[in-house]
Amino acid sequence: MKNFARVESAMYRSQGKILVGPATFTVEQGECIGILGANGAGKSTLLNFLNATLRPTSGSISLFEKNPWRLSEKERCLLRTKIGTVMQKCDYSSLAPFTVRDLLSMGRLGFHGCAARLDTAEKNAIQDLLEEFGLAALADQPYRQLSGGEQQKAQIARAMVQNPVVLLLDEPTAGLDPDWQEKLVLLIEALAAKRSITLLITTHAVHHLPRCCSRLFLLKQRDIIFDGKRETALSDQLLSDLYNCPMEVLRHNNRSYCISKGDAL
Amino acid sequence: MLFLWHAAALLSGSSIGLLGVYVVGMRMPFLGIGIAHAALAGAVAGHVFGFPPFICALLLALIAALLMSWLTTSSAQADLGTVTGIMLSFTMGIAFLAMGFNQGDMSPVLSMMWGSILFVRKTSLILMAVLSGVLFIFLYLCRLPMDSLLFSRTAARISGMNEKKLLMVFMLISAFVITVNLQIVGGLLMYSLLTNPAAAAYALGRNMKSVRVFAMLSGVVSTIGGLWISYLWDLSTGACIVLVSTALYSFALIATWKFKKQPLQ
Repeated sequence: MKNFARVESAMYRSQGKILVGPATFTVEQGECIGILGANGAGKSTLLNFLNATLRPTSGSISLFEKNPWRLSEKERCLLRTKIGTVMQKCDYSSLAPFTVRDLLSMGRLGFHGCAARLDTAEKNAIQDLLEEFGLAALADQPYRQLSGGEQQKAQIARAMVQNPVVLLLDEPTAGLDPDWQEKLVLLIEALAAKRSITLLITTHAVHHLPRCCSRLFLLKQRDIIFDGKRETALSDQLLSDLYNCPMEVLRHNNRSYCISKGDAL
Repeated sequence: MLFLWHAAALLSGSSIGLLGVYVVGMRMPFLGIGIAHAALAGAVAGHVFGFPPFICALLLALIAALLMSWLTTSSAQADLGTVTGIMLSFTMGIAFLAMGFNQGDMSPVLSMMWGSILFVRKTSLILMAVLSGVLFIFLYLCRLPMDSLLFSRTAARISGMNEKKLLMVFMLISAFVITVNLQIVGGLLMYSLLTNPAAAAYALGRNMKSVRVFAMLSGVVSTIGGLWISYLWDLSTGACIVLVSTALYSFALIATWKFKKQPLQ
């Protein structure tokens, strides 16, 4: 199987502080990987390596067998179209009355030049995705007026409109109510099952990890302290060490939950 | 002369109004003031030291636009607000320093600061028409990518758009348009004409098409209204234009409140 990413001793350092790394791992195409870690552990920075928006200050990274930082800007942009990314918080202009359909259209712009126009096939693909994601009724509503859960669903749809080979999700359920958290987890699981997509998802909540995530990265203090099978990672000891707090892993309805047992270590 | 003034007011109001949609929407109103003050400093220095003021103004505005664009899209990822703030104080320093060397009539220098449509000549009107045309064509052809940039620069980047190139082209065109309009409202009041019509349009518009149309209309009403008020009562044109644009924004806010549409935040 082909590699999506090969990361070798990649590290990002800013203002004398290491934000992630040195990290070494490979991701094969079609793999589903969950990334767990406390706040500031470096999960988002790691994802930024993998969508070629952040250049490691040391070490190397190759995506689809190419070093993205040795490509021209145009080639790097083309590479990014293969990787759908949903950020933890989309810092968007709340002034502009863009609709959900507008947002999805923006997901196609990487395939066009500056004078971009979407063709009929692309418009049809956007309509199909709106229906698949249950967003058709909201298609012409301003994005800024949607609820947090609806916005996040629209962002995942925007990433999927790229028809990506890889989907990177940075805490997609953060800040949502339990109903929306569950809806999004089911949506991501359905997406992974329906399309043979490489998925990397970061989260704090173990029960929000899609079932397809058979491999987990545990990040602690900007370093990958565990890279292995989900069953092994989800142990009381490893998670207690990860969060620096006594944790207990419970299983219910074929899903794992991680709860704090009390005082910090 | 009446035709010349009205044509200048029409071109200036529509082009700066439309430019403001992006400057305000991208939350970088300081871009306008940064470029305007760079142009002002160039014009003042050129006048005082005996060089063509327009060429000097354009040169400094282009340097400012390139510098801001490079600083905000390079790996340094400097904050645009901070960069333009520093640029503003630097260029104002140059402008006031040059004024100190001025031994003769101060009125040409003051007209660059406050503007006066009554001094517009045929050659500058032709230049305004050409540059407004360039702006309109650019924003028409590139409206989808520019909308994407306006929505979120980060989202545009991760979708594979070459946002650096687009932002640089936009900033260079902005520098040209702002410089050529300097004599209408002046360097000090350009900021208001960039901000007020666009803010009014965002308060009233239901979609981006209507926002663009409202901003251009609001800009034209401001410049022609301001021109007439200044002509009838022999007042400063730039100040009248700015006051009319502020009044229009107030009307837009009242209308928004009356019809319970989400106001500008």
